[in-house]
Amino acid sequence: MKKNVSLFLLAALLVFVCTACGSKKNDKDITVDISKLCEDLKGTITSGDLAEDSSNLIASTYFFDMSKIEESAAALNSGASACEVAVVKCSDSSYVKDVEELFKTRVKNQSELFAAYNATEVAKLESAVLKSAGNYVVFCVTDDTAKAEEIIKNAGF
Amino acid sequence: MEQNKRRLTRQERRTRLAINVLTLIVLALIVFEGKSLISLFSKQSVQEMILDEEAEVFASANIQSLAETESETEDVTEDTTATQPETVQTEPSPAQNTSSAAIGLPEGGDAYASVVVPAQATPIDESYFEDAVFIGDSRMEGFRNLSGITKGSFVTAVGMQLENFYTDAQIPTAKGNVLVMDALKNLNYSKIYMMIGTNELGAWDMSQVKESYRKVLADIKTAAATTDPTVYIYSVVYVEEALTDSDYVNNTNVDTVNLEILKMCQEEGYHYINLNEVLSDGNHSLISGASSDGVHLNAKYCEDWLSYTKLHYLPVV
Repeated sequence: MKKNVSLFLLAALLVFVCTACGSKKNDKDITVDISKLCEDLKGTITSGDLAEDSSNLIASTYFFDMSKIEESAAALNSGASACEVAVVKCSDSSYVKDVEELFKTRVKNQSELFAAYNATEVAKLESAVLKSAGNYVVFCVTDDTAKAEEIIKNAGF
Repeated sequence: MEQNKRRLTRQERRTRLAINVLTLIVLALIVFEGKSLISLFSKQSVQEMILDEEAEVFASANIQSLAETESETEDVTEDTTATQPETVQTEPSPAQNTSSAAIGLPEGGDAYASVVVPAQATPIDESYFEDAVFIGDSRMEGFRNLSGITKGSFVTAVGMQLENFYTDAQIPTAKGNVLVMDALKNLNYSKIYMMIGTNELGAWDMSQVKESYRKVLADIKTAAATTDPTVYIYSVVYVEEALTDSDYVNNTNVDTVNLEILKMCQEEGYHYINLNEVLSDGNHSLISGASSDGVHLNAKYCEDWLSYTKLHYLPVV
């Protein structure tokens, strides 16, 4: 009986630890200079011209509900490559997961298109960086994934 | 009682251990799966979820409507006095076209000068694009991303071709890619701006490209909000041959396809916007340095494209 109780407690502890691990990432309390991070990540992209885009363009590219986005910055490209950067701050942490899913859909959609058009870009899409911390989500398809990851880490993600 | 107190046999200990491990696994599964079930049933019924998803699919076909998102997210102060009430489908006079036809038109293109949209004295306000849809390939997508345009709906995709127009799902939505015609269903447009042809430069028979273009445009017109939408066709922009990685992506083919497009414009009453007037080097080639890969335009030239579009429109009453 004692053994059973111990095992039950162990299971409960295991579940508690797992749950704690899962939420740790989004509980991070960080402040990000969104424009600067976007600009820094743009520096990792060498293929094709990029320009900072307005929030309306960001909405129509990623299909965000902009009423749930507090702040955003993105740089989209000339059509020459799949490279792009987007950094968003959600108004509420509950929308972070949805934003992550929309970025994943973006990768899937773009991968399908580039597979028939310019297959070398598919590798970049497969290495797309997607990170979240607190209410922030950053997404980057780049020519230099390692550098982008370093920049994102240094920004507090 | 004595039986209960007896030392457990090895077999019994093994059995108990296995039962305990199984209990542990089941507990973990119950907790994790339970969380999913709770979120599933606590949020909404299955039927509601299906309805929501259906609504999202239709809403997201509107994906590239800049005008709608703009009104919600931006505080724009525009000169509304420049808003044009209604366009008049008047053919530009040949005299107006003389100067613009000189640059950027293919050999033999002068014969179709009447369909080339002439420059107006003043640029149109961007509100003119509120009921416009811009359709095209990756070059048009670059225009959307880099020109700074704030109005209009965009239905663009890398690799868009006349050949795959009806077969390939290529317009991104929140629920995956959809066919161009499906994306257009949810848009309200009475002006069509279209640029396609770069991905057709390798076609064996350019006259067939013209016929495919004609068919596609007829269907796009059918899906418009008005029975007789204004149709603007952009010229295929020249390339910088030294930078392209394909033999058939060359300016001879650009001229050939543009001549076919000019013919179609004349036959169908469409209006040809001669972008090469402003984007060519005057020698049937893209301005050197306008593109990093010889095809897709850099930001400065997308801005020039927008400025040119604002100056080349049909006269209004």
